[in-house]
Amino acid sequence: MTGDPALLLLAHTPPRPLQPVDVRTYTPRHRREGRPRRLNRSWRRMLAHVALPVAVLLWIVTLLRNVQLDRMGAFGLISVLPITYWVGLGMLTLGFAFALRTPGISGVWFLGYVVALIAMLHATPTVLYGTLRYSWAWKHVAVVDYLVSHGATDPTNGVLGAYHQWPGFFALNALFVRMAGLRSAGSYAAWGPPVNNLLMIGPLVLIYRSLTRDRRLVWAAVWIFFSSAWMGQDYFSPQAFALVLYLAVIGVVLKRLNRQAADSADSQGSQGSSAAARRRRAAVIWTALLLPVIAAVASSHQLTPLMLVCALGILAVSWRRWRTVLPLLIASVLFTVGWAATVARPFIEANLSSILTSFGTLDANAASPLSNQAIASPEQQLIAHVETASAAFIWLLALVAVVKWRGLRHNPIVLLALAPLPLLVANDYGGEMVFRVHLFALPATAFLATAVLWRSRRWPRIQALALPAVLLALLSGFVLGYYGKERMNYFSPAEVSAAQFLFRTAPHGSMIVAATSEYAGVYTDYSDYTYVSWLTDQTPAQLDEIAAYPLSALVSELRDSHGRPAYFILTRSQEAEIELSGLLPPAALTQVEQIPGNAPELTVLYRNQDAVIMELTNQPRSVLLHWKGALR
Amino acid sequence: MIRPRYLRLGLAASGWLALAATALPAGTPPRVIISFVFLLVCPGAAATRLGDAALRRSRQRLGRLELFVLTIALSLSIGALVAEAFLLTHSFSPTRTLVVLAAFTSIAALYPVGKVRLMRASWNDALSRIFLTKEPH
Repeated sequence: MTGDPALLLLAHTPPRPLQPVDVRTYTPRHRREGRPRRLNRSWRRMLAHVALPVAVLLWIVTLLRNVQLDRMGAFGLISVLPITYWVGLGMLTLGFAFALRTPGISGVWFLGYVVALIAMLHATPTVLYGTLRYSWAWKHVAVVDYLVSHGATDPTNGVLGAYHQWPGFFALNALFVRMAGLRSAGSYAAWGPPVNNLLMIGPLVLIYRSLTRDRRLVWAAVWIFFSSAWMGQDYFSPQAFALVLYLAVIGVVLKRLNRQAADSADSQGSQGSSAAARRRRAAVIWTALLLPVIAAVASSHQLTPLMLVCALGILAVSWRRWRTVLPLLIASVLFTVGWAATVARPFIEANLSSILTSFGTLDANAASPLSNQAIASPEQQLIAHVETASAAFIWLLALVAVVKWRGLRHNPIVLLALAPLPLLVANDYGGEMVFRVHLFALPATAFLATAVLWRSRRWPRIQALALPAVLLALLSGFVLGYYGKERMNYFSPAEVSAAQFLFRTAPHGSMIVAATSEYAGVYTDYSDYTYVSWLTDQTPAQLDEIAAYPLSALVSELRDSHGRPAYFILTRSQEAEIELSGLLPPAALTQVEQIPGNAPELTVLYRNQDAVIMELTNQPRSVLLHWKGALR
Repeated sequence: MIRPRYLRLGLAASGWLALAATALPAGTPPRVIISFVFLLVCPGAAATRLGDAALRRSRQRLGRLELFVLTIALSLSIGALVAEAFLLTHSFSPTRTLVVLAAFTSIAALYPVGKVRLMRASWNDALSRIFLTKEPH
């Protein structure tokens, strides 16, 4: 087996004792050959120690400055963040790269760098906005608030019924809201991204430590994971919660397989019946420890349990330690199928035909939603290309790792990279499957990519430059992918005020029509209102019709309320979504913006700089009386 | 330095402390912090303690990082499972859910599993062995 000695490979056979590179005795090539060092080690050490506090200081300065969020341009948050932020992020990255090249730096410093990276990337919007970003997070807040106020799930609830059938994440948050005496989960949900990412550090380090003894390689892989996860699935959501638990299960399983390999190598020839009994007992305990975690994954999210089954399945089938993994695989399958057959049965029955239709249509399932953005803005198309390039780069490096080190082919990390791929055949998951597959493969592909970039004996100088360059490039891709859409994900305080007015004003039973579902407060008290997203899920022909006659199309939509009070909300973030994703041509969007005040059928109830709320006033009298009678 | 035995007693009492904290004014920082820390750490710490003890009898043990990861993952999982069981059966109340979690944490924290012993006089070691189960020599 050829390979980097830094990698402790868990090979198919008991591994040859590989010696990890000892950071205390490792001598760089230039020093062995008597060439002068480019940068003195003490300088490198000093830079590594100084860059972190300076970067954090620059970040704090950024947060204290008055960032003009209302001036976000086509590249979202990127266009308004001041230079201090970018200098700080650059310093943090270069400082981390220096730390990786400096032997003997304490692990606490690497942890500090990664925590600072997460804070800078994920806590910046939280602190600057002061409001909850991303409409899906508002939707999840609405589900938690429903559970808090009703004290029970409602699986029959139409549009959000699926959340009631996989309620683990929402139940935990409902408990926290009640325990802490908070009014709503919205009071802390904005901290979801930093908290979820921080919770992933431990499981990731556990996974990587079972693959290598080189501490710096571990932290480099953790960094590359976080700077490549531009998919934005870390917000206040069941998928982020389930991903943390998924990583914990995989981490513990890999650690255990690793330990077993070492134990069997140590105790060859000293096998006895008592040792076998001890091992069986230990296997039962390990399985029992992970059962609650697997059950929580199965009851919290639709997709993650399937990913877990795939991951454990590929480990069990392809590796000689199948006895270790098989009980967990069986438990995962039983929990997943059992949950789908009982609590989640209404959802499965309602969607069975579409699930079966989607199965096997690899072309459609693997199609990126980015490919539908032919009419999106040029900036959004650029962002889409950068995201694709970032993902392709990581996969390419992972492929290089597998080609370079043949021993890796039997390593569980390669199997884990491949494990999510079968789900591309199974379903399109609302057009997002290709992103989700990339996300679940990322812990493995990030490690493989890092291993390629790691210490190269042949080209040390190139490698010394390549690592910081790649770290900066990946971080640039992350920033474009994650911050580039913030014009529609950010909700200003004025938009939140408008939403609060709407839910104070609209009586229960009303219909709330929104231009798109990108607005603050979406699905608030959803059991009491009918929500309609006007432009979302329309066919191209319908969108053309709306673009031609926006006012009549809107009035027609509102009149579907059949006499119930009907409201229309139009916000800055919705206009940003329409513009960025090309839902309507600019001329039609201008017409929509001119509707308030120019349509006799609609009365403007509320208006501020970022939002307008209108009510359908010209209701046929007989229909209105009929509706009021129905209410009585 | 706090002795592990006191930490273990603190762990056993944590659920009841969280329950008592619900009497504090709604949304106040102490109540929020106690609730958050309990749900994030305590049931999982107690469960991990039992698992670690059982593994030691089979001559295996949890590493420090494993212990940490399992503690958080089990806490979140146990909290979610208990809360959703009540929600699905339409019998959810924070007091009822907390009593179940607190009782589980107390029993698992107090269950006798072997002599508690520090390996080194360090804070890290104390924290890592709080659950713990060093077999008496």
